[in-house]
Amino acid sequence: MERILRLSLANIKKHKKQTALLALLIMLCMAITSSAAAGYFDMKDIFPRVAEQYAVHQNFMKINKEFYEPGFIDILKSDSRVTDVEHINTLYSMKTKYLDKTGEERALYMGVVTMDTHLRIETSPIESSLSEEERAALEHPIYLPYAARESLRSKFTEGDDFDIVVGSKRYSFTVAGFYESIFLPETNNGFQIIVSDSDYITLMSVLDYQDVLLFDCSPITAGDDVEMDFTNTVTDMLGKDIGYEIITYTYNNCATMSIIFIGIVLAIMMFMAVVILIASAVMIRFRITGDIQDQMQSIGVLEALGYTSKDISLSYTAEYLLIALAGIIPGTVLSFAIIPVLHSLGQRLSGHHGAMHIEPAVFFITAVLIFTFAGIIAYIRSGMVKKYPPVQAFRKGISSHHFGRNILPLRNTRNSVNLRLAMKGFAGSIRQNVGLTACIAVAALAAVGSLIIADVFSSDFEVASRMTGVELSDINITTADYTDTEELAENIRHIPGVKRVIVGSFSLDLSHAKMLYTYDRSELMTPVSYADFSGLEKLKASEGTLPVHDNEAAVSRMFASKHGLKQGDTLTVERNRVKKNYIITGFVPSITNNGRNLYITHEGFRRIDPTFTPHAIDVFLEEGADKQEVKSVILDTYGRTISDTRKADASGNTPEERIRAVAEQKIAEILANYNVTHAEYAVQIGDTVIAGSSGGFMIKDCGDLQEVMQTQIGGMFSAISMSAWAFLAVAAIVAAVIIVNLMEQTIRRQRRDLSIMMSVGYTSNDLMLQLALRILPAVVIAVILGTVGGIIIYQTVMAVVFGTMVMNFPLLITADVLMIAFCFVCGYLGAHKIKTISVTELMTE
Amino acid sequence: MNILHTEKLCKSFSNGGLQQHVIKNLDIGIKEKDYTIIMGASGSGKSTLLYALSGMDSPTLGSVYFGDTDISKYTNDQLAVFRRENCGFVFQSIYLLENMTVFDNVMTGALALQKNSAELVKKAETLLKKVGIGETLWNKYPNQLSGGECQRVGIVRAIINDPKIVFADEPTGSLNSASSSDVLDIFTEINKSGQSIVMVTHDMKTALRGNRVIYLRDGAVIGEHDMQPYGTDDSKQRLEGLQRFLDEMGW
Repeated sequence: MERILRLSLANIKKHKKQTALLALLIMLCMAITSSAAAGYFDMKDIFPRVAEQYAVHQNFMKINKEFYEPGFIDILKSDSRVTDVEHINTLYSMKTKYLDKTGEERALYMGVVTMDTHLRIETSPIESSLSEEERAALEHPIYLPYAARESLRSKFTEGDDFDIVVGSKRYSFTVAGFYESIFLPETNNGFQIIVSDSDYITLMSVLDYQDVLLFDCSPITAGDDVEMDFTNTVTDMLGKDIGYEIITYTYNNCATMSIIFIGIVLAIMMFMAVVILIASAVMIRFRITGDIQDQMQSIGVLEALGYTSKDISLSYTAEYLLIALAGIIPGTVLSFAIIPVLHSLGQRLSGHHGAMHIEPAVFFITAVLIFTFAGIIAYIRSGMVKKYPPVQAFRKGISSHHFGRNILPLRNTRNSVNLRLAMKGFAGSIRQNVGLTACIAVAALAAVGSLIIADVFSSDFEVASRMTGVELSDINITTADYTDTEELAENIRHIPGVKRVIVGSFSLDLSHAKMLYTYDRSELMTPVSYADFSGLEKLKASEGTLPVHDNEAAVSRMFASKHGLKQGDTLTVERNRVKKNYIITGFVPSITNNGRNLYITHEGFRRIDPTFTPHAIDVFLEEGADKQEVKSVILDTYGRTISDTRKADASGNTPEERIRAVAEQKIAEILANYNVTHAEYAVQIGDTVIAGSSGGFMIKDCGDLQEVMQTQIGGMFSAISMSAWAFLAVAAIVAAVIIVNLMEQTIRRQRRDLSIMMSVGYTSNDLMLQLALRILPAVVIAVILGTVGGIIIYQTVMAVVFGTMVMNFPLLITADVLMIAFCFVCGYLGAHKIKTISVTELMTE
Repeated sequence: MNILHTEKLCKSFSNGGLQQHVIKNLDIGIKEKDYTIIMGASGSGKSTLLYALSGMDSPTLGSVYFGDTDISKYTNDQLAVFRRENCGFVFQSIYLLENMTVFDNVMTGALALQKNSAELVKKAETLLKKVGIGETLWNKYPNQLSGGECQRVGIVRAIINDPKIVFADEPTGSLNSASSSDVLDIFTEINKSGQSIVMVTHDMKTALRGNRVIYLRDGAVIGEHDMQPYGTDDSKQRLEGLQRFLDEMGW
């Protein structure tokens, strides 16, 4: 054993740089694998841990006050799975905005509670750098979820101003601290904010009043089923569908949401670790083959001295086990630095702050797996020593005898001799190139995967917008019930700056939404309806087609895979006890609304609900048109929005103006809440009659879906995007290490030939160029294979996770070119050791 | 007229912290179209001098002038360019590229300087035929050839670019006597065609082919012997003259 170890150590000493590079790869592999695995075990339970620690109840169901009835609580209580129910009140709005630190308005859903209500939802403490006295002295204190400090672009801190904007009104608060919000912790579902009792009363005038039922279940995961049964019972009880007014955050739902984004990061990490492991395996094989060929005569001497081929084989295995150990130990240390970063990222992405939980077994198992893997690869490869008995080894095997076909003879050289010699070199080392291609292909695959994810989650939402499952127009208008939407759309079409308009059914204002129930799949669907889907820019079917006829429908890929639906299958849809069958024509990428969107034509909608009329207009602007300006023109021309008027100040300079303002506010209120289609008023003051009607309110709401999306998921997207860029960098490092290592090995093995080339007048730059060009065909093949593989894997994974597959091919082509260039530069720079070769080495031989 | 000359040329090697001065303040000149032989005992610095003169290696101190140009200040890449434009080199160990055919070995040298053309291919064919490497051997690999055949290929590779000066480091050192004679005949031919030759050798028979012999001892020139007065035909006189010179040098 001792002599085997001595041989191994001698070998390691001889190739310090290559050993260091391999140890570096194994270190990265260990660090990434153990961090990802530990991160998974840490993050998968972050919500359960937080809920266990702070949640007073496990599920949160909010219902708009207008639709809530006291009997609802009894419906829940009568469910045998429900163990406890509590009723509270909160405020909530999807129209709220906040001012970021640059003064820009940013959309953000907000739920508002008092401190007492907060303590009935969760018992999490307030975290603040301000003393209790300082907080008590604040006139309008506000407590925000941790995400306000970590995920929003403006990272708020204690003492900052936090302005809530509702319509034209602005309410200023001072950030007093942060806390763990169980159900509304992040931008996706919105923030739960805590305000003082007096501020709560002030906000009641502008925000929607909500009744909330907090309930617990046994088993704890039964919340989704309880919600579904509750909605069905309520629909039966009221004789009308109010499903869209009930929003439930169940334990299951929150747990899934808390891991979904960090899960993507962890999956990329695991994939990256596999890539590095494969690269390490190929490197080990390369090195052992090279070492055996280089040391053939020494092997012969050792065998002649009595070492068996098994001894020599074991010495190689021991060498790589030592190297693996040298990588695993710092890799483990490094993972302890990465895990807190991952935990922090996970907190940022989930919005939950839980204690870090490290599973020690993860490190041990990972280390054993990598160590064993390295040992097995080394042992199998070093078995080739057996092929060389002493006499054959003395003669350097038979590899130096070349009788092969002359590929690419130099007499036919047409252009650059460097290129010709490089291609000749490439053709002469096919085996090595297969290994290189495999290594670069997996690195390229990782790079492509990272790039696709970075692109999908990039801040401009170009790719992501094609995965939302809705048409993201520049301006989304919801019209009033009595408005002729088609006529208004036609008028808006002629406003300068407007490129085109499309009338549809999907808008930010959910009060129009006529939810459809998929009878045979027990899911409540949000309809997305257009007269003709062919004119849409972002909303496309990823498979099949969007519906054309009234008996056709499309669904999201997520919904299709959940219910095992194929094109041509029939879906039974129910509304107001009317059931109709629709043929599924295609699938749409959709990451919003959990994929519960149903795509049907207007005619298709009228088949099941003859009263259906579209109330949304998607406005697309010309390139360079000012969105705010066009919006102002629309509102100036067609009146203020109902939503803004409802919540605006009823002020004016004269008594008549003030009376009109109050009257319009009242009309807006009844139009918004009571399904009123027309209203008039007349007020007589002395001889003067002040009269008006609802005729001016053609627009119910004028919003910006892109901005909502940016605010809701922008922070998470950017965190994932940044992680993907980091992994892209790791893939680049892996590729660089492989190429540099290959160059070093090639130079070591071909030192004599390179000296000869120099002696006949080739400069070191010529030779570096030749070596870099030599790997280029392998690199090109590898990058193509990696890209194709990356696309296939990405499509599969994303189809499973989100049911989407949107690809930015121009970006991928550019990335491929850059990857090839990067590998070429690495090869060229990695071959710089040629400069250390002196022609005088030929003299000393 | 000197095509190459040195001024106070010194070359030292560091070996385990010890400085070994191999060439010491050497001033020599190589004349145009001359056939210069460098002789000396083992370790006298012959090969080191040859490598310094040919731009294969840079001197530690002093200068090497090619015409009026001091090449001792050149970088490695400048020296490579200098070599391909002006020098040919023939090694004792031949150093053909094992993974290339005979013809490709020759073309590798040629293409380092020139663009490929029908003339270049023809020239390579002519030269190979001239040194006795027939067409049947052109597509063979070096390990399929005899030592003498390999050395002749090495010579063609050295002269394909018409270098002004051809350096040879014991070119017959690893050959049998018949092959040696053939190879030396080629060098004589090359010299007759107007190219300078600088050859290092231990062998008196090889040295007889030159017209000037420089003798080195401990890195310094201790004697020079001009063989031009003997003419080219009187081999006995040449032999006796060279014998005498070498005896004087302590050969």
